[in-house]
Amino acid sequence: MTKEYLHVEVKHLTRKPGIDGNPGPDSLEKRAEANVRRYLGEKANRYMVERARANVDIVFRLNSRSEKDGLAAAPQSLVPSPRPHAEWLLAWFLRKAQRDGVLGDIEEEFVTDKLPTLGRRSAVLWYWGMVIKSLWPCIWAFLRRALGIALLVKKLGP
Amino acid sequence: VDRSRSSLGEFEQAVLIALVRLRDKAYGVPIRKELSLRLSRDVSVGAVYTTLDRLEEKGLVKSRVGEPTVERGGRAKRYFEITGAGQIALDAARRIQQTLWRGLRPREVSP
Repeated sequence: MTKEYLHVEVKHLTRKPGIDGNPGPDSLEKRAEANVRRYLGEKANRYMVERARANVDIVFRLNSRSEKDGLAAAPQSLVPSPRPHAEWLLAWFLRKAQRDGVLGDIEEEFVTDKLPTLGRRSAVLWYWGMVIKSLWPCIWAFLRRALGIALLVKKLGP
Repeated sequence: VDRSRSSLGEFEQAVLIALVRLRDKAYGVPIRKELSLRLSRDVSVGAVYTTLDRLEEKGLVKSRVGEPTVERGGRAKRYFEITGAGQIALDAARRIQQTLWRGLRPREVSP
């Protein structure tokens, strides 16, 4: 899903809205939704589809911002989405319940607050800064849990 | 309440007070914003969650999973709420602070 979607995102960010055959937001939303459905088939649930549509909205917000500022169509937006890498990194130290909370919160602030106010490059930097800052307390908690289990095993062992 | 389990650190107190202030809107993002505002420093999401998990293990807060939203990439919010034991621990921490400060003015402490 990610690869399919990123392809759509990158392809359209290199074009100015309304020209170069850019089909407009409605068609893009439908295309993102179709990509998700084609890739995942029946497994595609409502949230995956909504996520793809939301990401298309983000692409268009970024393009509109660039147009308003009189810039070319946002080449900085070609920075890859940070989410899969951050998820992989945090997955090492977080339990599933924590992972959804931590990554969901970072992503919510990224999308609703940082992206519209800072622009994509600074927002991605903020995203990674927050992931790295969040790692240390998570690593510390992970080590404490691991140490606790090791001590328990030693105590119960022969 | 077990005294060793209910004794609170400074950051734990700040998190519990944020839960009291936010009431039913207490999930990660507003909690982090509230803490950053009140403590005048940037607080990481990881620090908030490890503290909340520790407080939940102590039985001082409880959590429930909310609806996933699009802005969160389809991930669910996790709402937190202070428990009765949490309120007792917070009251105890406040009483200890008040007892320690009784009879002293801030000016007397400053060098």
